[in-house]
Amino acid sequence: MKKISEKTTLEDLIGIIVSHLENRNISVVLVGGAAVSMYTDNKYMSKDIDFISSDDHKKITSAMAELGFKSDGKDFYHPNTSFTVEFPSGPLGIGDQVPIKPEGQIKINGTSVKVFSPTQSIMDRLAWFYYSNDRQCLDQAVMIYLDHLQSVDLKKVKEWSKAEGQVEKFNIFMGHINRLSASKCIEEG
Amino acid sequence: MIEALFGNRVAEKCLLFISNYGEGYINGIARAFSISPSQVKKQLERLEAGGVLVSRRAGNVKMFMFNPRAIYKKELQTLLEKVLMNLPKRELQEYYRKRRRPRRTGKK
Repeated sequence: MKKISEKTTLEDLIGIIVSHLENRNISVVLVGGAAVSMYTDNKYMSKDIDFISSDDHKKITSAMAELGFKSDGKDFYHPNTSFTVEFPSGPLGIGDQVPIKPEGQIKINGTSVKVFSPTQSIMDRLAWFYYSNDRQCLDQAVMIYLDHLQSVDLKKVKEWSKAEGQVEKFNIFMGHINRLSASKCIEEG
Repeated sequence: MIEALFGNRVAEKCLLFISNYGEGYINGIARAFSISPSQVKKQLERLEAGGVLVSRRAGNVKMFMFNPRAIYKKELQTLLEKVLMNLPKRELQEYYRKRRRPRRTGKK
């Protein structure tokens, strides 16, 4: 197993943690900003790694301690890295859709990491824009879309937005992606 | 960008702030742009008196938001959204991209 050092990247750290937890029969789903970092090739850089797990917190604390993490409530800190790890309470949900099955998977050094699909990640970020007016999350949703044009199901995002009663804000999201897609086309000639 | 349309720079900033974050209060807006609270208060109250904004009490602060009954609300927000979308990236990051999603109490 790779050692955790100050040079350990976010991606490597996620791989190390997920692989170790799996060996301890603990199943997790990567959510939040770290998932955005993975999908945007670190254009958005998260300092927190959030996992949702239905496993017992004591079991998780013990497994994380084996990696050198110290717990402070639901947060975990490691002396060799500035990334923090958190296990927020589940269940996994996006807006009114609770629970939701994560449809994505990313491979890190041979370890499969369960994560929202790019479409689900966009909805997850948009939920913060819709309900907390968080424009950082709007930008993150746009970044994911621009990096995963082929795989994102915009129709699904639109239907979900409609069900959440957020058509106006969905249109703001569309305004951003249309504008940035157009400028990308101009740049690429 | 559109201060001429709204009469002055402070009114423009107040409207952009509220359009961006959904709502705003005097000291919050003043702090965000480093302008005096009295200037912000004057403009927010002028916009409220004109029916552009409405306010509600939230604890000790008076929170301002767009008047849902203004017949031009949608068009005004579309206009402001267009301005926000075309602001220089530095300005956007400095004033309009503050974290609004919750952060758990005690998280470092």
